[in-house]
Amino acid sequence: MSAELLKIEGLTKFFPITTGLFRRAAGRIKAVDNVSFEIAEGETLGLVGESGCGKTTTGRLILRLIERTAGEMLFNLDEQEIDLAALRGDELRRFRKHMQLIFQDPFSSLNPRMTVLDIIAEPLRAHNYGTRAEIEDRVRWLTDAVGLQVEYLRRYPHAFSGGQRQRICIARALALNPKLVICDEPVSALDVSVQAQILNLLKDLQKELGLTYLFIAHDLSVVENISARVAVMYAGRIVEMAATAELFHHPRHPYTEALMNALPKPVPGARAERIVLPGEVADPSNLPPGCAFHPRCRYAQDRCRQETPELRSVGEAHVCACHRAEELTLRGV
Amino acid sequence: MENLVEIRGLDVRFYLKEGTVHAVNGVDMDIPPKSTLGVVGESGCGKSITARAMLRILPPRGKIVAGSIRLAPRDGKAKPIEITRLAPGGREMRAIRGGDISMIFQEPMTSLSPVHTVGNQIMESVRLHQNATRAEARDRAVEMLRLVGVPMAERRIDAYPHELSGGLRQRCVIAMALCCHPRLLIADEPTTALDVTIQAQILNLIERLQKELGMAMMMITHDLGVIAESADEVAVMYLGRIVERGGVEDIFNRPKHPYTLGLLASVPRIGKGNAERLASIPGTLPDPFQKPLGCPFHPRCPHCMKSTCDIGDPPKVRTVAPDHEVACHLYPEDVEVRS
Repeated sequence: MSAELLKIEGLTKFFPITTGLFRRAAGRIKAVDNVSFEIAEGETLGLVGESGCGKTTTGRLILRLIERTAGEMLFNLDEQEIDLAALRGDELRRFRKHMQLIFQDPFSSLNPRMTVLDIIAEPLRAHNYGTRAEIEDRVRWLTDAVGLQVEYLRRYPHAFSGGQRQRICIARALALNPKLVICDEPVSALDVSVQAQILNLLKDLQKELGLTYLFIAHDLSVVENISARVAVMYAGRIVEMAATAELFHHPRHPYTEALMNALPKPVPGARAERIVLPGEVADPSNLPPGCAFHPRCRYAQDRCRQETPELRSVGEAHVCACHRAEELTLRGV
Repeated sequence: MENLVEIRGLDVRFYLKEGTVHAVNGVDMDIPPKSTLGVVGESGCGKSITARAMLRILPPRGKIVAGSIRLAPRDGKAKPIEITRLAPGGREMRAIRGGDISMIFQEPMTSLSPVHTVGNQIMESVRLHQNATRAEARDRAVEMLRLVGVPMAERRIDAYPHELSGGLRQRCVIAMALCCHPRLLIADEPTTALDVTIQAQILNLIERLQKELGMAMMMITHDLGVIAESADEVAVMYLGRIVERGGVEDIFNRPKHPYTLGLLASVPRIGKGNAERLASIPGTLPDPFQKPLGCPFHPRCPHCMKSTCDIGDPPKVRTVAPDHEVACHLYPEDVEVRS
């Protein structure tokens, strides 16, 4: 296993809830609460969870698009450990080329008034990549790498389908040779047949360019297909993290079990096995005491209602935050 | 009439500034009472437009240019109702909407009015269709909210949509759709906007209600998992046409059309690990203004036969097994089916 590219330790983000004329703090939303993980160079870490669990906020904190409340983020750049949270001003701006982002919706993340050439060239120009000709060469190479025809470079985004637009977004994200690419639901807005193309493309590019991905998604089958390791988030915390096969075959957290077994499978007659969780996803501004998952958990005991479980090792490179992880036998897939 | 709804040769076109879009082409569909027809396809395949044509709620530029949509009469006595001949805003059509055929949409926030309480919206439908007094309608609304599993229904009836979560909103929409006991429920991507655990709740709810109320359902979705778990019969659509139709077992276990095969191969399946590359269908959906000649799928088809698939009319629908039909030149003749 190669070195860690990114090391997150105790990352926390609380958003204040303000009320009234003087923006008095009335409470706080625990969007991300004490999240720690590492991503090795060239690896894909999948981050799954339902809406409001903090997965997107985690991605944005790493990119410094929003500021953290607490925690450490260390980025390993050529054997040099860089504290992401300490970067300021121009330093931060120059560092951004090492971390890029691919968004969910390829319809709102491309400027309709710019040609494809300008869209892909923009990061190159912003970081003074080189002369006009060098930039154009690089754009051509990128367009080809993501499987778009070079003849399309003078067109505007409206002329492209969702899948082609997502290819443009990928080319733009890769323009500056980033080390880390944060993919925030990159295929959830796409049709099934196109989704497979984009997943394959992301895998090919990773192999070719040695990219490291933080792959954020709500769809477990997509995450399984692309990730080497998977972290499951619930109400701002990581509740389980393990290598992909281990997590899917031997889940230790009841939430992971339910997520996998609630997913409709393209096999007729499989529906008898569906596990249905009662209630709603926990509200991060008003978390239940103890384990945040206990109101929906079918294995909950008194202890779960009082003590918050900490993330602990339950197997080789397998961590889980459940009081009963050792005693329960859960169903994988 | 044996079926609840019979659609024959339905053609829907959109007359736009940029040209004419043939959104639905020669679609035949049967929905028997009490069963679920799953309609699956990617964006632009005409699945939602077919449903909207059945309720005559096409967008302003959409027109039904040919075909028939027949609805079985309520008590089995009179003649079937020909929906395509009714005026979209007329009294008969309004009685069918909500009374005989109801529809639930993908995004619950856009199908609820933000300035009325959910109770008032359910009561409106009851009062329009069933001549009930205000008090009766309110009782009925509370009863419906309980039926769809809204906790504290007596209090939630006075809530506005923004006060409810996505899952609860979708439950309210379902309550509204079912309050007049329709014979057919059209569910257009009912769980696409919901989280996985909430999706499982809503799918179970729809399944339970269908059994309890004995209605037929048309489940429209792009999600093959949802189709496999809810449908009895499946129609696969591509670019405005049905390319394959059959029982759910036939479609998933013995698919025939290259498009169905491609779709099934491109879904990532849980438990398969990360080693495999996904099979994908090459190319993208063509421009709706310039559909390919011949078979609409031929530019992306791995079995495309030169000067057969790319010219002339689209392939005819052939029977390949009992109750299993395919429109593909690989199956040029009907298989004789012994019953």
